[in-house]
Amino acid sequence: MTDNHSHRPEHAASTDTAVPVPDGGASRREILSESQLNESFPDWRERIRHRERLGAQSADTVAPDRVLHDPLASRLGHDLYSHQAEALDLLEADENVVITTSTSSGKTLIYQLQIGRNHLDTDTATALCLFPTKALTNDQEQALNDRLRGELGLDTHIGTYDGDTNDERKRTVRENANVILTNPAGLNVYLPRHAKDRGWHRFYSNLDLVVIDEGHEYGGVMGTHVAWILRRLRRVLAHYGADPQFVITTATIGNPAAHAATLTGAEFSVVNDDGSPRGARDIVLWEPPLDEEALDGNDDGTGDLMEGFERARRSSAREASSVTAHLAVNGIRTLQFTTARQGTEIGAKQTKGAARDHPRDQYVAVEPYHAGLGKRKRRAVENQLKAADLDAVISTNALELGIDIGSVDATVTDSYPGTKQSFWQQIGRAGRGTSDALSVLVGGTDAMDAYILDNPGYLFDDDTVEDAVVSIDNDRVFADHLLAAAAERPLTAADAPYLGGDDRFREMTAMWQDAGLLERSGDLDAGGVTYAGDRRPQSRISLYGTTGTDYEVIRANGEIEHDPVATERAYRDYHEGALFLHAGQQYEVTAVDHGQPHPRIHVEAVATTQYTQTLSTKRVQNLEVTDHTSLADGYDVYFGTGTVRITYGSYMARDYRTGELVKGPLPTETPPLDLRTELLWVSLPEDHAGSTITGLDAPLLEPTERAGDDPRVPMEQARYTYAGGLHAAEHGIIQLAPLELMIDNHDIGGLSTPSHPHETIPGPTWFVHDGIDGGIGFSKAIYEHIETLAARTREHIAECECGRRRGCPLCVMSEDCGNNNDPLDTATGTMILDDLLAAFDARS
Amino acid sequence: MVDGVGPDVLVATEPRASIVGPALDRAFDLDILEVGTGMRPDIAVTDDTRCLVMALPMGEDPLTPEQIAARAETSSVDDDPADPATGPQLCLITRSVSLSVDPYARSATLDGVSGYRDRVPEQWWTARTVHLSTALRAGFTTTRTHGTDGDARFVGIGTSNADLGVGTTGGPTQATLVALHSNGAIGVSEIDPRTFGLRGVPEIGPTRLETLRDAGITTVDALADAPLRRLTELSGLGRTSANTVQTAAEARSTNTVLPTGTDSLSTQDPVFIDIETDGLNPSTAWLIGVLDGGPADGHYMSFRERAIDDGSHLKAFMTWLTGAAARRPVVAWNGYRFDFPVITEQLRQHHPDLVAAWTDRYQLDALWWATNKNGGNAALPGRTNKLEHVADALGWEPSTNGIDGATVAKLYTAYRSQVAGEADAGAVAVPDWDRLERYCEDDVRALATIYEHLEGAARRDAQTKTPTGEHSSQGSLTDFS
Repeated sequence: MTDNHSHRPEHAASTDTAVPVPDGGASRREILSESQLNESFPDWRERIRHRERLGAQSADTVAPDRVLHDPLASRLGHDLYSHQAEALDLLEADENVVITTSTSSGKTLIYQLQIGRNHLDTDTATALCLFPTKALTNDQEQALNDRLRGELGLDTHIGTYDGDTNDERKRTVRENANVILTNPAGLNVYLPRHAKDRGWHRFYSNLDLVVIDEGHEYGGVMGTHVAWILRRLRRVLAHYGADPQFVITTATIGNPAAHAATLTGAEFSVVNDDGSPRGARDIVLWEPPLDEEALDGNDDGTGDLMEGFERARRSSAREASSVTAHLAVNGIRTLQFTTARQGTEIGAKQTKGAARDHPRDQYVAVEPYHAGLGKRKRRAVENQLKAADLDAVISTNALELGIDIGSVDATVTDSYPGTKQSFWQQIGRAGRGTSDALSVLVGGTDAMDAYILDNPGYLFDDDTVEDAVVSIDNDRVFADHLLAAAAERPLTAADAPYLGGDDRFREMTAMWQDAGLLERSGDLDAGGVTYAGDRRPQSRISLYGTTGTDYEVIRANGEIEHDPVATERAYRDYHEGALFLHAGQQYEVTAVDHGQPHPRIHVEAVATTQYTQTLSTKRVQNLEVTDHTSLADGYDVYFGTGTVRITYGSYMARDYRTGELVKGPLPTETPPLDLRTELLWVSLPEDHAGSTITGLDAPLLEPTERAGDDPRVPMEQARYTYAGGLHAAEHGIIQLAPLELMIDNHDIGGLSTPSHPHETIPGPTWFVHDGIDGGIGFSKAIYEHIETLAARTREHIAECECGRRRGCPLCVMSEDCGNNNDPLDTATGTMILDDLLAAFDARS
Repeated sequence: MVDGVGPDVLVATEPRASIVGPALDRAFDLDILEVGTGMRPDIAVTDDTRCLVMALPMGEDPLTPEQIAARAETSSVDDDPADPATGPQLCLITRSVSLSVDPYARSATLDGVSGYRDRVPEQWWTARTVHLSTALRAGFTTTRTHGTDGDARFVGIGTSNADLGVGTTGGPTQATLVALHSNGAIGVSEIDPRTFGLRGVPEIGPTRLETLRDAGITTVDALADAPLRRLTELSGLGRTSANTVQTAAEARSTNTVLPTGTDSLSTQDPVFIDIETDGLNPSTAWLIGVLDGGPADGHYMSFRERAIDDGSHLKAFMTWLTGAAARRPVVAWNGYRFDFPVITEQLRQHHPDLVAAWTDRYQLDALWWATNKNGGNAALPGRTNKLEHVADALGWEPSTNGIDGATVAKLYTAYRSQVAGEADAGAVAVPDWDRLERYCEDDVRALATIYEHLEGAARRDAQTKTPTGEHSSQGSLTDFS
């Protein structure tokens, strides 16, 4: 694994003067000057928690003829950056290459030149390029044509081949293209056509290069499927005698070589030493004021702390608008990223309002931008921004992926986007090229944001970025792709290296033979095993889930471009009455049709100030240990598989402006869901509850009214308090897991319990499980990082500014909690984590 | 549908087994069995008394031979059904044998066999008995050894609740046809009720079906006989589509091939081919059957590999094709989707130098010519466009039965596995190559039969039909029926 850090911070000298913008000219220098800030934010000193200055970096270049032969070298009208040269050299030496340099460092030029080089060697050579979205595919087709046919004057045939391509065009592309651009979902269904449609034989036999763009996108469920699709591709290619090189480009991730290897099954060299030039960049971490009164008014023992925090939270979106307005008023073109429920429209209004409220009372041109807007409107905003007709754009994260919106001077990020990778990608939107840029992160109200404002070093000092997490261990997903592979070509023993390794391959093949979906009389070692199920199994693989079932989202009053929803999420987030935010618009689920084989979620766009929160009960059974870390003194951490039965029984609706409970709990009418999945559990000594309570300095907690209605919450004070500690430790670790791992913690669940019948659990325990059937490697990755995560969590809980026993959304409270965040006790939680860490230390 | 298939016995299965009887036309004199209901076994005997079909009753009690004999007697069986030597073939139906698949444990198991075994009288547990289960997926067949009892054959005739991943479409099974052949072969196929009656006529979907029904046209014959003018007055049917639909109905009603287009067929004598493989996504085409000449007197040749996957027959085939059969068109049924690309692929693997000679040859997919080329050139008779259904409707009869392409593929695959696994070549059970080749011969002769009718249709293309299309053509078609 290779360390990766493309940012070279030069620390600012002091924090007691205003943030300077020295390279930006006189007017820009003024913007963050003390007087300007005083004008907009009289208490700015308290709000700026940190500022970081990343110095300009000059280009490190290499003459093209050092790397390329003519005519490529002479036709390329400019030098190569050093990382481009390095990657091309590695490709020349027959290596697979994963490139992790920063946004807009010219990663695409690398594979463009490699395609050109291959073409000049053999004019029949072909390349396959995979992009995560159709929009990006179209952009890149244009870019490839411009580069290869235009600039380099090569006679290459380049064609997009996806769901939008008509049959006639498809045939032309198959029969003639040197370069085919598509997406993994497309490849999944085109692959079985290899022996049926004219043209594939030519294309696959001559395939020299496979490009996977934005490789970090393939994590979690989607990543699991893509990994198998790529293995199926390699297996079919082996049949055609093709063994292409791979080029993977990715945002900065902590484990590029390992991630690329898991995705493809091949070995990779890493290129991460960025030779592209960059302007200086100032990054400011901005903490919105917390409305303490709102909080104190609600600590009344009802257990409904979320209410106060929602009221306090609304300040972050409003604050971000004020910061954007401040920049816009001062002539800085700004792009603001928001995750706020109220959406981008209200964000734009708030920004205009804030500009009017500014002492200079100025009009600023602001537009919202999100995927729900429709193509024409989006293009219009993009053009206005490019033409400098707009002062600010308020966007969802739709803009993150590759689409070029032109350059802005500054970005404002409302709430930490969840990963360093997307944080840097958002920041990279400001000041393309060598111009200077400014970025502001306005802290939101959850544990990750609080951690980062408290520990800015996490973003700037630490040389690591998160690991991308992808797994091929899910046997249900594997089983489906094995059928797909068999339908592409009969399975033989020679396929084992591509399809799970010898044992797994043989066992799963035998299972399908017993089930009659693979030919029973076939033999892997003798002629092969053919597919015997219903036609086109590939068409039934969903890349959005692991169970083969996903829910189509249908909007009654208009169009909605919503990815299909995996069963697990459908049960939790899309029950009847649920409200959800999608592409900047609020929707309400009006009906759910669970009927097979095509379940559907019917939704309607709504204008509401409410959001919903789903409550659940959970049971963990059938544990089987696959790995075990034994610590000192009866502490143990286990990883394995088990069945998690979750009942999302009821939900509540709250007002997002105040957090007030509007209605509920109301029944969801959703049946229980059984997940056979991967999980870890921390097993504590049998008497741990007693010894912890004895050692507790603080008074015991009084059970809340709500807890009294919940039979699963112990009502006796000592046990209630201890349960709160376990629950806090479980929440804390799940919430901070994205600090280490590029995972979506909405796809992780937890359960803490004072006792469990399994033989490995003598006393209290807590579980962290994958929220997806069969697992997608998340809890496994957490298991592997548990010590680091426990340490970070302990530190964070103990030092949280809230200083409250029951915690706050900045430390241990979670919106996804099925128990409405009750009980929670940060004091006991800290002790439990201390004990666990001590057991780690005392091991050996 | 029931009329079209003409079964001896009908088995009602879940989810709505109880309505099958009442829903059926009273005109059918058929035994309808229902499994798992009632206190006593439900029994039916085929008309030729060779087969006794019995659905197990509810509960878990063992059945006694006496009980069954008593029940069977009411159906007038002379032989003692409990005596395997003289009795008819037994076919038992249960709903308690099911499949469970657990991808996490990587295992698929047949559940409920033991409990079921305990209910079946000892003397019936023989290799002759066929065990049908409504809890197994239609088309699923397996042979299981239970204890020391020897092999038992289980055949699915219903819908499975097993986790079959992406291997099945997941839709409910409409209907399953189980054919028990006297030679012990069992054929299981799914049949789609929508391929019967009016709904089975091409271009008739649910909406048009409704329209026709409202107009009092409820059978294919009625549609074929309806005045075209009347059809064009119905909503949703323009003149062109009324004509198309009626021609299709007429082809089915009269079991003839009718012209619908203007394309001609090659004047050269074609070579008919059919390949046998190891499955629908094949890795080999181990047999290429060729018919040189007409359906009755044409000369049949088998090009079969000499050793597993040696590709020797491909070369022999190409030598013949480029020599004796030079420049003649190669015709196959569904050839564009299957036979032609599979042969191309096989040549690429074994004889890349012969690929060009093969792909340059004029190849014609007779099915495609009839149904697709320039909107289609012929309306075909038969319930579906499968080779055997069309040929059967044209009065052609095969010389083999109880065998189909999938069975041939299975037999070959089993043989191939043995050859590789067995050091001693003499110990390998060699398939009855002669029978398999005869099956392939049947197919090419069936193809040649259809082709003759297509040629007939092409000679008298749609232009020659009277402009009103009102049935004046009926008489002139008799020489083709």
